[in-house]
Amino acid sequence: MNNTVSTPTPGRPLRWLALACAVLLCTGAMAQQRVLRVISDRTDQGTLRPLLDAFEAKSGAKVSGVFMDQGLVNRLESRPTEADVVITKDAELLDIAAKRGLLDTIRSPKITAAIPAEFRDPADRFFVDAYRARVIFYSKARVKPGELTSYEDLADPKWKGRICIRSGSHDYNLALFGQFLASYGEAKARAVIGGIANNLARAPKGNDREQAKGIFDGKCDIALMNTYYHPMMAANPDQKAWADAVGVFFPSQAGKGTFIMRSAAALTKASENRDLAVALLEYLASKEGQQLMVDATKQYSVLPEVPAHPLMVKLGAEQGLVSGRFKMDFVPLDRMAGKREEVIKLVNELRFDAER
Amino acid sequence: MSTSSASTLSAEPAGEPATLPTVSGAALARSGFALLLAAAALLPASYLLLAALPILFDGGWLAHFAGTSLPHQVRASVSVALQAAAVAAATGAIPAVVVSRFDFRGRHLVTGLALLPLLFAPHVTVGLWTVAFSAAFFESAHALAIAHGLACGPYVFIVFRIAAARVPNAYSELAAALGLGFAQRLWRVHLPSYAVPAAASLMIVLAQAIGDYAAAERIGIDTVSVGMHNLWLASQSSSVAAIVSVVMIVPSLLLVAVAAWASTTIISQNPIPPASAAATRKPLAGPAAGVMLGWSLLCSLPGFWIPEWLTLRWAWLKWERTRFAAIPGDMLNAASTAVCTTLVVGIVCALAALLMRSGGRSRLAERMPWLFLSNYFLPSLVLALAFVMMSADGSVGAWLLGALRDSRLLIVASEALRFMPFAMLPVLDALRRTPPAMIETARAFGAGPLRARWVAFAGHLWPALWLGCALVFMESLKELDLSLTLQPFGYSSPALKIYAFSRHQNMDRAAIWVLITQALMLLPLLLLFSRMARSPRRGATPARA
Repeated sequence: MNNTVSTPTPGRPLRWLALACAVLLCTGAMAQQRVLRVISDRTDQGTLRPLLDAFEAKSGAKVSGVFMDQGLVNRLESRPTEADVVITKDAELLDIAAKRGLLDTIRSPKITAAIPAEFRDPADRFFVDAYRARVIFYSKARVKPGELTSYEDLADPKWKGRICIRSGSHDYNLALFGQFLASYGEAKARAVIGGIANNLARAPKGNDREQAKGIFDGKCDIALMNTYYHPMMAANPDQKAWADAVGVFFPSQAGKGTFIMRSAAALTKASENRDLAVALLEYLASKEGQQLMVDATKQYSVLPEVPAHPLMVKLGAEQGLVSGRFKMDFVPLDRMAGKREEVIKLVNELRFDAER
Repeated sequence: MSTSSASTLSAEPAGEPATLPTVSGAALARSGFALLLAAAALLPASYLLLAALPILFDGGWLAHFAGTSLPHQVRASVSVALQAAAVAAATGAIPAVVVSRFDFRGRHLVTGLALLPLLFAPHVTVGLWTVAFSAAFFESAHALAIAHGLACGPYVFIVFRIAAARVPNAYSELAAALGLGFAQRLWRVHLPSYAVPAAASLMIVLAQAIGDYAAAERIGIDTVSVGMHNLWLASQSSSVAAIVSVVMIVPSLLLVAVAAWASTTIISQNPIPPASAAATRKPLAGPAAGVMLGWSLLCSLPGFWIPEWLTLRWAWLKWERTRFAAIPGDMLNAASTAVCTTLVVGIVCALAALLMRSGGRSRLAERMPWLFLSNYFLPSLVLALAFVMMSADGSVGAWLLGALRDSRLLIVASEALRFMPFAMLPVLDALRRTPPAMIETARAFGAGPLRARWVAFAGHLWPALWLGCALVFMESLKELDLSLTLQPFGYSSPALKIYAFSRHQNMDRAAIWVLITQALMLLPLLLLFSRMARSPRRGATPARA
């Protein structure tokens, strides 16, 4: 038996040779595939993956990413050319990156033609690829939609101990409070943010979904959250009860409108894969890319011809909103300059995140 | 002193002129190595300090931080840390002393139960609690303190287990013979005997509780670390981060300096081996043993059994939604990173064992490695920030590392710096307890310098190194902030997956990744258990407990 096994057969070297050739061929094929590097502050690639997969299929390139939801601009500042494309859930970060000279100009007639001017950086260093509204989620059991009106109203003592919110230092709330400052003026904005802080039911904590869970658990009655969390929770069997327990109210529809959060994309200073990088951005700006973006992230498209996701259309229907479109208090990013720093200091002064 | 100690490395008899060049060489090597270790240990903190000092008062950030949230955050952090220390003492120190000093049925079970919480990172524990239970208590500072206390419990157990095995019964027996009652013996004999392990344990808990970000942020407690990170992340400015880091760096360095001085000056050099204490272990009555077992079981419920049950249940329920294809790659990533980190730590510790002096002859060189503690006291995000800044394009770090900068090397290096004390301090302690005479005797019997050290240290040092490396491996697997910030392109690991799922309030989908991490930790945990549970044979020397 042993002899049989150890006897060299003429076929064996050939098989090894064939295997080696196959490995070499595969390696060669892999070496030829171009790799586009994307850096993003999304927690993981889950929601971006369908878009990246579609782009990979179209371009034949592989998209490799770093997904870090902390310190995106610092990393970009430290290694300006390690990635080709930067994708963020908060356009304000790209505004900061652009002001620090970390982004390159996007020279693409397709993007210029497709994206409305208000969603493009005036110097074409980034563009908004989608947006969502930061709205009021309320307990269907304990709050009547008629009780809700505007963001300013959240500072009213009638909401004392009834509001849940995530950390005041989180990007979403920094962007919201920054828009308060830009839209309302400093004095009124401080009063509104301070009023909200006074009315909190508990210390700000967790993510947006945790605020809906707080409403479901009866810890609070209203919360400030992004719109897409409602359909996302509704689609998750474990969180459906949270979604069912809350209604969505678009504040200030009788006034200046609801504030939005913008996600955005840009080119870094890396030039090695410039054509691919521009192609990815163009894909994000295309109708097909936007439709995928709406389907995957449940955000609103920046292209007027791409409708809101069917699950988003019904949000705000009680307020008379149709097609998922709402009145927005649009604050251009250049009006937000310096507001972020002001808000950070204000949040600390108010001890917004302190335990209650 | 240095001449006589260095002569142990010399092949020539001490005192002969021909030995001088060798003596100088050994001393030089030791000093050079010590300086290298100190430089490596202090590099991140020094870099941040140097970056911050010229701009310390720019933008008024430091004054703003100190004048607004910092005082409250310091109070919150200290309060959480002290409560955590009490919990850690109850779950770690008490079982350790009882296991060390008494013989009873179930000693090994108590040891195992005390070590089990090592399988959960505090942020995972609080994530599981808050998702599973909606009572307000689970979102309080007390819950955070309990989570940290439970997570530190195993470390406190290990520290006290080793220390208690070294405390001879003779002092207590002498005090009893002199007529001192139980309370007086406790106050005047036992408590002073445990002062050093208590101080060491307190430092571990302080570092863990004050430096933590993920668990405090998850549960919504506004600690110093959370405040500092919020300022950094909100401002997206490394300058602001460096400035506010000073608040943590300066006290950390002071604390470490005090710890290094105290450790090498005050710590008992009692040479009695653990075997002697084990030989005099007293029997524990059945009811008392039952109480001890019950206490250990109770303590392990929130720290291990309840989270483990939740994890297993959720993993089972979400089995069909698990992306199994990602598991092998992630496991390989996590294991290889942890192995690399452990190897780096192990090699540095082995070099320290070869080059440093044994016995109580510590001078400056032997105190240098204590500086690694400063990186454990710093929040890991601060350490990550330092590495991001040090390896920036155009920096010396980027130039030195070349393409390696974009690999996992930075994760390994930062983890090695952070977790080095887990292995280095036990090794230094073992080194101090190895009488130089053993090396000299081995030399006299004809062993070469390395062989003499190898033989002399076998009993004391290698068990300490193994134990330390096992802890480093486990901590590296659980580590999150460093890999989150320093990850290279395409990198993924169970810790990152757990983080991503928990950020989306999907702890149930994170469960499978928690189990994978635990599976990787099983072997080092068994190694730890075997070290801690080992009962030295009566009269056997050297003891390896």
